[in-house]
Amino acid sequence: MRMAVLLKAVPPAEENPYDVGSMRMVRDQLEVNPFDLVALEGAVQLKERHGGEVVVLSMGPQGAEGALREAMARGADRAVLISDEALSGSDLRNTAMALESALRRLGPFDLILSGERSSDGNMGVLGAYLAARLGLPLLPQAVSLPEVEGGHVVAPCDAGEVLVLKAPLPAVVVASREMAKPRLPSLKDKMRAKKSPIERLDCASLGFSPLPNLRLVGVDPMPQKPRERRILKGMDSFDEFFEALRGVMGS
Amino acid sequence: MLPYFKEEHEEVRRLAAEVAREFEPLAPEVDRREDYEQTRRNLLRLGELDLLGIRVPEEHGGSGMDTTSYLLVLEELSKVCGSTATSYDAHNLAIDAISIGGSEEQKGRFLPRLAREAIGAFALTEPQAGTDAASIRTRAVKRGSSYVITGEKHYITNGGIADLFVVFAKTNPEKGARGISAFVVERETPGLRIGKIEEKMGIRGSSTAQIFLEEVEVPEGNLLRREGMGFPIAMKALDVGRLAVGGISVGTSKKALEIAVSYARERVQFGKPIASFQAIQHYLAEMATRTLAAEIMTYNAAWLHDQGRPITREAAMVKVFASETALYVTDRAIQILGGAGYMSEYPIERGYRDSRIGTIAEGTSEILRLIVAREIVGALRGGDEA
Repeated sequence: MRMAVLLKAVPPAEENPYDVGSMRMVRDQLEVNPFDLVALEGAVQLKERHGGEVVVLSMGPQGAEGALREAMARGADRAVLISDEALSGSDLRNTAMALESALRRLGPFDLILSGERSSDGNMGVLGAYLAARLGLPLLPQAVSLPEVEGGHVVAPCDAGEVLVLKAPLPAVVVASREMAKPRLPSLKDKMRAKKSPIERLDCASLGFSPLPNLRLVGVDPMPQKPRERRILKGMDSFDEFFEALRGVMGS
Repeated sequence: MLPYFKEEHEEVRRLAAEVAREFEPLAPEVDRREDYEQTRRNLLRLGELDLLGIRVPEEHGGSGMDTTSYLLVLEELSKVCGSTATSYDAHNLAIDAISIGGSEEQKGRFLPRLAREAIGAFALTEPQAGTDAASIRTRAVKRGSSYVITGEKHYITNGGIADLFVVFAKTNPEKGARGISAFVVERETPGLRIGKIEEKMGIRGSSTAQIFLEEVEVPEGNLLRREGMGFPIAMKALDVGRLAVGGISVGTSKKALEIAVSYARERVQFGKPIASFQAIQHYLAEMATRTLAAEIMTYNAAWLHDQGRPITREAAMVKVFASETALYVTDRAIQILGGAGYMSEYPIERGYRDSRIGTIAEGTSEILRLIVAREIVGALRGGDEA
């Protein structure tokens, strides 16, 4: 079974705020979007079960290589980076189009997996967008490892309630963060991956020219809910307390 | 970032920090319940990730990394669990003794296991022989093609959880230090018995045991190097062990500093964060300065060792300074957190208790200062670089 995992290299989530002398960890390196690690783990587990190949595909700057090597250390067989000055600052459409051309070129794939969103972009629509562009069925928010059998893929998907969805291969699976627990690579895997080749693609090799990107014309701060303070007294106020809590949690 | 760190070192640090995150939630209970078995599981987890035998050469099943890498792992472990860090240090002392003194055949026999699934212990100390290690009384007598070892060891880290012991015993009691030999002894060897497991102030999740050796027969093929070479093997292993205490102390100090800074920023008294008070700022500045100094010293010595240079003087300096720094920094951190620092809700009181051993084990601060002084005076007399 051939699988492609879409992977984004993102700035590290937690920057140690205490830059005391040398104490800061080196953080100029990009790392794998943690949500994509789940998709990768799922793909590697499927490979362990059914055999096949896992190709990680990323679009990003040169600095994304480290993230792709991390993916190799965690079990990917091939890593491909689409990197081109013309793609810098790509919006969703250009990103999807570039990935689509690369997938068509590297394919065919039986499964394409992506994480539920990126930790820096947070839009969470790329997998669906790509499925639509590729004309493939989409299993959104898979909450556990998909079953692959008889040319079909089946996965329980979180759509408010858990729907078990079945689609013919090839298909796109978007991994919810619960789908699999990413493994830690061993030190030897990491060192081996440091020497692994990263394949390169650019606009010319893909025969692709980006369209004009969306333009950012402003940032509105998220509306803040007004803060409220209430003091509840006595044993009888529990219901009121839980009611208030339910209101805050929005359910 | 220090100039000693290359990209591969950062990879090691990242991996160690990630696995440390697995150990972190378990650490308070490991300490409270003296959970040696969990510590053993932590070490075996390091084995799965190729970190247990990080300095064991690749041909012997290890990762073939350098001393700097080893200290980075210790540093990250000690940020979350001093017990695991200490056990890992003791395990590596056993590895070092075998790497230093073992033949290729012995390395091939023992190191692959210690790199993955076997825990090591370094059994030198005895009730009558702590700092004065040359005065050990455990005897090893040649009988045919075996040695028969009899004696008692105590305060042996990993004693209760180890699979392999490097045991130091006298083959020639008349010769003092030159009569000491080193043997690898399997846990299951008849006559080897684990005695009392000590209850301790800190690093409570690391097993510190009494070991009885009653007519323990080991094949002569388990003697490291040759008779009489035990003491130099021990001293050379302990040089790296002292750097290891440096790595542990740096990790403990950084963690305590991080918590203290974070707390001081958030804790409001008299309408202001306490970090805005000069008294607290002075504490933090001193803590950060000493921590950085300890870090630089530690990794400088590791770098020297990685260059194949002698480190006896530097290792002694590192151990004295870094261990005393960890005590200072954790003590000040408790002061900054006040009552909260004294409670076990924050890991600082544990860090304080854990770091107390640093100025005692693997060479007390007192004897190490003597070593430093002797090295300096010796160097002057010989017209050396110092």
